[in-house]
Amino acid sequence: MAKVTIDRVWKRYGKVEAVKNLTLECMDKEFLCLLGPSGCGKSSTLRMVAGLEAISEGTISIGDRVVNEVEPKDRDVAMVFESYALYPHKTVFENMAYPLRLRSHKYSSAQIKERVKHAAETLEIDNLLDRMPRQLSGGQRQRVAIGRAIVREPQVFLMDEPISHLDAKLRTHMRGELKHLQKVLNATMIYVTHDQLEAISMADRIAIMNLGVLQQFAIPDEIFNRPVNQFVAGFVGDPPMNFINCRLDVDSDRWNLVHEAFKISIPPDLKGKIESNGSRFTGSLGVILGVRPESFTVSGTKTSEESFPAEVYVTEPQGEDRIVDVTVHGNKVKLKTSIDFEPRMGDRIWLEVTKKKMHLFDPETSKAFF
Amino acid sequence: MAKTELISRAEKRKKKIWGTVTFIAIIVFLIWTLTPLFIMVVSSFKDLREAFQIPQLGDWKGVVQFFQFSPTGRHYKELFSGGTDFTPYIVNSVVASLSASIIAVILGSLAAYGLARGRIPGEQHISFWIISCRMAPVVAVMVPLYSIFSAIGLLEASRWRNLLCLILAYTTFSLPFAVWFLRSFFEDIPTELEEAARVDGCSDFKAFWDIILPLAKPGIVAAFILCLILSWNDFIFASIFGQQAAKTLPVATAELHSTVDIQWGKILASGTILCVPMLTLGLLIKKYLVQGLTMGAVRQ
Repeated sequence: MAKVTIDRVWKRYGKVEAVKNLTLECMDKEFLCLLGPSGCGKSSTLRMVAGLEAISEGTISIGDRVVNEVEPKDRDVAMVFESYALYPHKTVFENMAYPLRLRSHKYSSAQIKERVKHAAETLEIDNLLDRMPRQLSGGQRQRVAIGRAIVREPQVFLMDEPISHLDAKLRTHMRGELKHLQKVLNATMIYVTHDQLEAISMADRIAIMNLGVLQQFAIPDEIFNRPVNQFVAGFVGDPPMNFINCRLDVDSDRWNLVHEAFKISIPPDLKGKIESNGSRFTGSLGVILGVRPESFTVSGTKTSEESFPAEVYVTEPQGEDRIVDVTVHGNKVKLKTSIDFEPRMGDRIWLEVTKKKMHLFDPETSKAFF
Repeated sequence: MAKTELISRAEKRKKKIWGTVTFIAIIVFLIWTLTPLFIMVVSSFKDLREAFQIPQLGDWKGVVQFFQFSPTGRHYKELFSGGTDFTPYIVNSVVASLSASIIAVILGSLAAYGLARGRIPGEQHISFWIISCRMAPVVAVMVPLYSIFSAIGLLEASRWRNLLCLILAYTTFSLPFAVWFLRSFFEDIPTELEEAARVDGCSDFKAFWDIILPLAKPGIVAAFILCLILSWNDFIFASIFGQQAAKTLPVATAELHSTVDIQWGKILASGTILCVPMLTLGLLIKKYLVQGLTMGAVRQ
């Protein structure tokens, strides 16, 4: 296994810039997720690592070797495609054996058989080896595609949304399976997905991208709890973070977030964080308050000076939780509450923001103040 | 409810009528196309006297007479003995059409694959230009081709030179067709398959050879057979470029009909030899044309 270094890489398709000045490093044996919406450049990045796309500018290294001009076959990477890309005219066994057969100087027939059998057993597809791809279900095809990647122990595994087309139940199952496999194989893995839940639950580190630009590169906990900008904050989390336009009134030592519906004082520790980040405020300025749906305290009555009213718009029970959509002075806000909380449409409820979990963003730059 | 039932009944009736009309049209078409062939094949095994016992219009008993004959292989024997020997003509036809078709399919596959993957600037224009070559009538290229072949000495009376002329002429016309035909087959093969092969350890050519070609096999076989039929059935190129030294089967058959004599027996036998292989191939192509390409490899 080896680390992958992407250094100031650009990808241009004519005038379109798909990846802009991307720099990140996937450590040896690390599970790195490239996360972002469609067209953010994550797949282009993966394809550049695989060698399937030329690099417009910058360098990509696998281990200590710069691979910009190296053919895909010589990069020692394995890739699992979104469409699985199984060879339709070969059996499952032959599909899995193919990368080894191409290195026949390295593996004897007996070794090939042994390795395919071992990989098939790991993936529980050893009973399917004689079948053709067309005879397999989506989940089985996906396992064969992974099997074809793991038979030859490459330096890096590249996965391009490999489970995005499975049904929800199988996807949940495969998330665990893939993470387990990565740890068992001690593999360096770069995994592309648009599903934030997949990234949060599987990755050691997440690189979140938008419009070709790296937004944040950090461990899942940091991405979730300390998003660097409004895009990251809104992209990660389900339901997504609520954003409310407010004013920040700075009056000597007292900082207050002011909105038509509420007034929230900023606690000293948060103030310290903002100031330590280099921001200096005076007077009154516009800010965006970000609060995750689960970071509200909800009650039927006013519980404190800082609690504010909201009107229930709709409720969505989700087994153990309930998503409650409310309007706060014209702003739509989503709350995540216990299933036992059962308000009716039109009810007036009272909300209080959990201060240590709130976020403040600059409306001009979208960057977080802390 | 009743109205819906009425509509569905009317629709069923309409479908039935259309079905019957289609069936009758197919039968008429089959009779129209197959009867001459059938008469030719059956008559080639008849004595000439029996072959020309043509029933009068409305004489249904005469139809029965058509099938009452003592089979003979005389005409076939005559094609290969006595004054005439058709063996070289058959060999010429086979060599010229097979060679041209093989060349057209090999070059056509490579060109079609390149065009299908669309990494060539102006690829659409190139594709159109290629197929427009096929649109030109044969006579339009006859004079320039004649002039070129003459200039490079291919029209001298030599069997192999004249055969080369035919191979080049057939390839000129088969290649654009093969490129155009195969391009759509290659376009239907998902690019991920060759990308997967390249990551698995293939060079570009190895990925084409190992993964893409086997998947395009139905298309390649179909293109090969269609090119073969085009070349095999050609008369005009063969009559001009083949000359006497590399006479092909259609030209030799035509020469059996002269101003002094029409050798019907030999014409029927030779016509049968000309048609049967291509008919068989025509039946084969059907299987390949309908065969699926991706066979469930890629998520649909």
